[in-house]
Amino acid sequence: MLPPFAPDIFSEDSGRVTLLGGECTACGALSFPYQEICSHDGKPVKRRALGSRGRIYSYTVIHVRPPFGLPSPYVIGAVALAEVPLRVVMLLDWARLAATEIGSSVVLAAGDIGADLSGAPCRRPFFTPDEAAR
Amino acid sequence: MMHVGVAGIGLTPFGRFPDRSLIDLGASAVRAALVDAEIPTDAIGAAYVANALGGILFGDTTIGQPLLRRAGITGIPVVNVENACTSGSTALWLAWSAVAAGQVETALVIGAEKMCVPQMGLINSGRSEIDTQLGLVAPASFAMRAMRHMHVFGTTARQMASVVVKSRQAGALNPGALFRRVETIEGVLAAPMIATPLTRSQCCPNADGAAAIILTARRGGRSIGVDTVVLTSGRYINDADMARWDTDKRTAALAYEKAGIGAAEIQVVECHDAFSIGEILHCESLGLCPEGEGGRLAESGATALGGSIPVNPSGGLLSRGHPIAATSVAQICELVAQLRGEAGPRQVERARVGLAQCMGGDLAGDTKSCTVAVLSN
Repeated sequence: MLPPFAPDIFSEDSGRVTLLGGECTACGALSFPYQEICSHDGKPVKRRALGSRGRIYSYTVIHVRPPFGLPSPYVIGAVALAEVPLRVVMLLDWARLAATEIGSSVVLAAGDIGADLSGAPCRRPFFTPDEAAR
Repeated sequence: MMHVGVAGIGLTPFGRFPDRSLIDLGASAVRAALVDAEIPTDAIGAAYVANALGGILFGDTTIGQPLLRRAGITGIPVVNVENACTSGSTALWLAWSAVAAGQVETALVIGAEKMCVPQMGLINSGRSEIDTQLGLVAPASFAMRAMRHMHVFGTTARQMASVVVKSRQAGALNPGALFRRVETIEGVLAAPMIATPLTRSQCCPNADGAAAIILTARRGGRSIGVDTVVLTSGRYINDADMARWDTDKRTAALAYEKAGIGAAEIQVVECHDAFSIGEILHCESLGLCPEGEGGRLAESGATALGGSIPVNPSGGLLSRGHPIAATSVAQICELVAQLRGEAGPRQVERARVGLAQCMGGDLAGDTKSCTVAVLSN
């Protein structure tokens, strides 16, 4: 399997893709991506999984020259995660645009998509319509 | 605190100038501002020089000193400033603070950018940021705000297009604007899609250009008062509402408080209309209309020249063009021309109080930076 585009963003375990982030040890605020110090109170943050499911809060289809060898056009969305109170910006499934709308349920997947910062092919996570929730 | 006023303004046209360097453009704006202010070069006590992309596009960093040397100014404190689209207004904030504090009597603010070159790609907010690596290029965050605004408030594609039609009408009256041809709603909507729902006409064009202003504590002459300049950054709260812009509203409220006025007293606005939806959101944040009503405000004609609250009479970023660091200095140049009554065919009648708003960069679904300045005559 190709390496991920960046470390500690997502995990893949027998087909289940999970988003990784952090939780403040003091105030409990969640963060994605993980950062060592909480933005809200400056206290230490511990690593935690953020789940795999969410709902589309907003999205857009980008038709101009994509960065990092992403598909053209590609879709990016703000997704409100289902298992924790956090919204993240993430690629959406460009092949399932017809099923993409604000409020629809999505589940995290991963694929060989584009290149990393050094130009090497890599894996990226993306949200795809959640058939189980339909 | 000292009184701070604008004694002079200087502006190059905004456009595509392959034969002119960044330094050359910036020095031209400085010379024009000195002539406009009718002061000698040795009256300048400090200079704040904004440029955002010289390092990336040309490998040229710290351009302030060579730029000023070209304009005949050496030996003074020079501060080079980068803060995305608010680079210029951040330079203004620094200069205003220095003059208000009595640190210097007269200061120069310059924004210069050259970006119409083959190596220019889409603007992003930092190549190594995770959001950027997941495809969050500059139009994407505004496009997602637009989708959300349409979903929550029922804002329509035609209302967003009306921002551009109004902008082109103003641009047609500005000899320094990049786009000077009027446009129809249908034409705006038929342009190629860039980031749904924003068509190309709803995205500001790259441009080369420079702008300069001279701030001074000396009263008199044609000086226009700068009542306040505020600079903020986002709080990066994860569930921030994308249809209502907290950082924008917070910055506007702070500026109104410091200037001791309310939205109803503003007579002319220059705002960061990098995208059609941007102007709609900023009109709401500035209190020019109720929340969610920005689209209807644009469609009503209220923000056009001759309307009840003209917004971006210069043509704004959408029609004048958006040379990143020059933009928010050019906004001040436009307001000064308006408040002097020297704006020619795009003059807002009897304008005495003007407001400039700008935003820069994306971080965690919010802006990196936001500025608001209030000027009065």
